[in-house]
Amino acid sequence: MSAAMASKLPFLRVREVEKEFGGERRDEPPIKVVDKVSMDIAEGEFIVYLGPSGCGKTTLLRIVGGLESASSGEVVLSGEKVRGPDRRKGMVFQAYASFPWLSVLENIKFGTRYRTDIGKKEKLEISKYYLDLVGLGSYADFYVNRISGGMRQRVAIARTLASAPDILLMDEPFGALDAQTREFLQEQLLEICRVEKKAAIFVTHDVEEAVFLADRAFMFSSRPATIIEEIDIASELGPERDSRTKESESFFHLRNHVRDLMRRQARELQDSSSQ
Amino acid sequence: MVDATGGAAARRRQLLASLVAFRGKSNARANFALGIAAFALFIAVWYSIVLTGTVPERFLPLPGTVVQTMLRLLTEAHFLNDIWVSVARVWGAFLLSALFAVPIGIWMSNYRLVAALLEPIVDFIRYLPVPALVPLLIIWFGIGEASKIAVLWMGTFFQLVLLVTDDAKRIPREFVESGFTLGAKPNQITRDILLPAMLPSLVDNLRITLGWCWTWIIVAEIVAAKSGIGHYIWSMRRFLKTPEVMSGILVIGIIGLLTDQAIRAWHRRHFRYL
Repeated sequence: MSAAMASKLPFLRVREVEKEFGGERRDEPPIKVVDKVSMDIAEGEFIVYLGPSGCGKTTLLRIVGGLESASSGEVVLSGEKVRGPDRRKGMVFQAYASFPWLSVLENIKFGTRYRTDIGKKEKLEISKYYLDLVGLGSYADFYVNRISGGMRQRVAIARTLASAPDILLMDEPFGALDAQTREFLQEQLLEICRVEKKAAIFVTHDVEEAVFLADRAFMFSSRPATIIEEIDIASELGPERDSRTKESESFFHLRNHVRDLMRRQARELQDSSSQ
Repeated sequence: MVDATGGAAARRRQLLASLVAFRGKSNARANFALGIAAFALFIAVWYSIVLTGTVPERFLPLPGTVVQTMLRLLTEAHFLNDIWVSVARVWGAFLLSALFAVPIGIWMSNYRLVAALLEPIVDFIRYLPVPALVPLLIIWFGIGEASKIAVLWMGTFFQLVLLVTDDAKRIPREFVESGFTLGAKPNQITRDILLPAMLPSLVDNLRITLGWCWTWIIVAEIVAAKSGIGHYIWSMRRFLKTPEVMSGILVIGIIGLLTDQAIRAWHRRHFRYL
């Protein structure tokens, strides 16, 4: 493939991805979780997957990350088909996935462990850089179960960034945190993404979080997940966000619009389950 | 003064109440005191049984006699040699068992094929009573060291391998998946993530397995041996030397207790993050 052709391809392409679970036993029919989802994502874009709990958005994210294989369709990251997990697709999980036997700094440094593009000295420098970027400089030597949940998620984000992924995949990383910590981390995450200029996909079922973070948001239906609406948030809110963004009128309108979409999904879910 | 004693009485009442409360709070000093008290009561009952002549001293010597006998034995070369022989057998077999069980257990948790092949066999042999295997192992390995090691190995390996598999399986999925997305290969995940993550519970299981080794070594040494604590106990039985028999048992208990406490202390120091 020539360079000119490659440059025309989108950074990340999700094409007609479907996922079914189960069906190995005769009395259990397979369950379709993701239904023909396609999207193109540009370099540096912040994408949010929004949808009711259990709708399949996490499964889609895991397929993009190579942690789950699609039943049909494909995911292509900078011209290369995704066949499994690797360092190019960094993942931050909802549950605390930092390692309890390592200190904060050692956890972040673990992100550089399998990099062959840099030497030992650089690995430490990069780890310290990300330690400071997520604001944990004074906690470097703490074991991760001695720090708060919000701090642990910052460690997980820093560890992933230290591994230098092409895209940052986040599965409800702030889901288990209290409201204040959550808001603080949202602002910090945007700041980090601005510095890093990295593409990101962020899964959430929190409408405000989605509107605040996204350049573009995809609203998914309840299971099986299909795209109901693509919401171009950057063109309304602009790329720059801060704590006052949430008080602006356009934020208010977008939030209400998305919330209505969300409610309709929830209602349909109720109706279909009561039948 | 009145206040202070009143306070002390109230505290005593409170302590007593928390001790008998369902799932009440524990108090280290009270626990220690109660442990000592129960032990003292045990000794007292023992003395009274012997001194009242309920059981003749030939069958149940006084506690003091047992301790004296043990202290005397601990200065005698043949007994120290018996202790050394048993300790060496236990540790040799234990290490050999762990050497096989740890990698195979991890392997079983990592690859379904290995688990599917080995699990039925392991489960079957695990249920065979070890004493029943002793005659067979003696036929195969004779009455020397090899048969002792074989008995201990049979008695621990099959249990340990399943415990290790369980330990490895209990590692959160996110740990392994994090490893993959940070660029680790399966072997690197095993070495850099699985092993350190499971190590605290692995050490606990090894400690428990070491305890079983002491059970099986005595079985093995009683059936056929020329040395070891089990052999000593069994030969003293023939002359009805009850204090010597009890001393042998006591020594095993003390060695077990000390080893266990030492490993626990190491565990606490080494896994400070827990």
